[in-house]
Amino acid sequence: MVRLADMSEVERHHLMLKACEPFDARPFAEGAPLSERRVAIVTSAGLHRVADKAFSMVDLSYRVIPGSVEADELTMTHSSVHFDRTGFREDVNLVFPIDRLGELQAEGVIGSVADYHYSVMGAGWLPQQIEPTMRELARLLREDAVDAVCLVPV
Amino acid sequence: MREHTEQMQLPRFLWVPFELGRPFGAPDEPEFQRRVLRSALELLERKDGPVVLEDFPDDAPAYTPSEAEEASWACPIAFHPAAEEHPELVTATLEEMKRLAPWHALYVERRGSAAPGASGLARERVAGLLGELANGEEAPEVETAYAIQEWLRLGCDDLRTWYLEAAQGQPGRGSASELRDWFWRDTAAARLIGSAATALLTHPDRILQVLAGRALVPRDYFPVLMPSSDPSLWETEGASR
Repeated sequence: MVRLADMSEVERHHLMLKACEPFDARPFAEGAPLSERRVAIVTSAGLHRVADKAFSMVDLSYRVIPGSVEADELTMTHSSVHFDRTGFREDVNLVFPIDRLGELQAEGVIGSVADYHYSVMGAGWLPQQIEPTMRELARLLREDAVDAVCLVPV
Repeated sequence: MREHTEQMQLPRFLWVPFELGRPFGAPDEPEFQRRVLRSALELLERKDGPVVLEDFPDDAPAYTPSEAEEASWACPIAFHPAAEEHPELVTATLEEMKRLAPWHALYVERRGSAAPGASGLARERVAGLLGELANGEEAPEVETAYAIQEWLRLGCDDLRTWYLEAAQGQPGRGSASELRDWFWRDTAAARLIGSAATALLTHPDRILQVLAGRALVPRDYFPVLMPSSDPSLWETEGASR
C-alpha cells in the first residue's frame, strides 16, 4: 500500500515507529491451479452491510458479506481518519473487488467465487490479537470449500 | 507499507503504490482493477517461497478532467469559508452545510443515493454536539445506543462523508488528496471537529483522550486544527493507524 514518500512527514514518522515482527511460522502453502480454486475476499476495510453493527474504535470481531451483496447495501466504519471514503462510494470494487472476481470466474482465470466474504476493521490492534478471529474465519472459509483468499488491506 | 511487509516476511504479497483507501487503484477502472486482482491471485501459483513479494508496476490511472472541468478545477470548491464570516463554529458549520446542500443534492442525483449515515444522528445534530464538547461539556445527552466514543467517531465520519459528497457534486473532480485537503484545511466543520478534539484531550475519560489524539483529526492537520496538542504523545500506544 501507498509509498511512504507520498505521505506527510508526520504520518511517515508515525508509521515507521510501528514494530512489525516477522511471524514465527513460514506458512508457504501450494495448491491447485488458480483456474480450479474457489476464491474469497477478506478485507480489513471495516466494510459491512448497513444493517450490521458498526465496528468500534478497537474491534476484533468480523462481519459477513454475502457475495450477492449490492454496493448500496455496504458502508464503512473503519476507525482511521487518514483515508477518504469517497472512492469506495463511487465504486465498491475499489476496496472490495467482487465484480472483478466474477469477471475472472467468467474468463476461467479462477474456478469460482465464494458465497461469503469477510470483513474486519484493521486498526487499533496488533496482528497476534486478531489471530483467534482469523482462525474462526479460516474454519468458515473451509466450510464454503474456499481454497484461495485475497486479503485486501485499505 | 512495503517496508512493514518486508519486515514481517509474509508468504505472498503484492505491493501496490496507490493512495490509502484505494487498494485497487481508482474507481470505475474495471480493466485496471482486474489487472491488480489478477496479479495478486497469480502469486498463489508461484512455488519460489517461503516469501514472495512482488511490486505492482503501475500507478493508478489519473482522472482526466474535461476542458470545462479543467477550467473550474483551479478553485474546485469555490466557497468563501463560512468560518471566516462567523466567529462561532457551530453556526459557521450549519451555514456551510446550507451552502453545500444544493451540491450534495446534485451528487445524489448523479450517484443515485447518498452514503447511509453510520451514527444514526443528523449532521446538524452532530455539529451541535461537537459544539457542546468543544465548550467543555463532558457528557452531552444523545439519543443513541452508542457509547460516546462511538457516536462521536461515527458522527464525525458521517459529517465528513457528506461534505466530500457535496464537493463531488460540483463541476470538476478533485483527487482523493485534494478533497481531503479541502475538507481539513478550508471548512468550518473541520475546525469544529478540531475544537472538540482539543477539548477532549483533557477529558477525564482516557478513552476519549485517546480518540481525540488518534481518530478525529489527521496527524498532519494537528498544527492547524489542534495547535495545543502534540501528536508524538499518541505515537507509542498500540497499533492504531
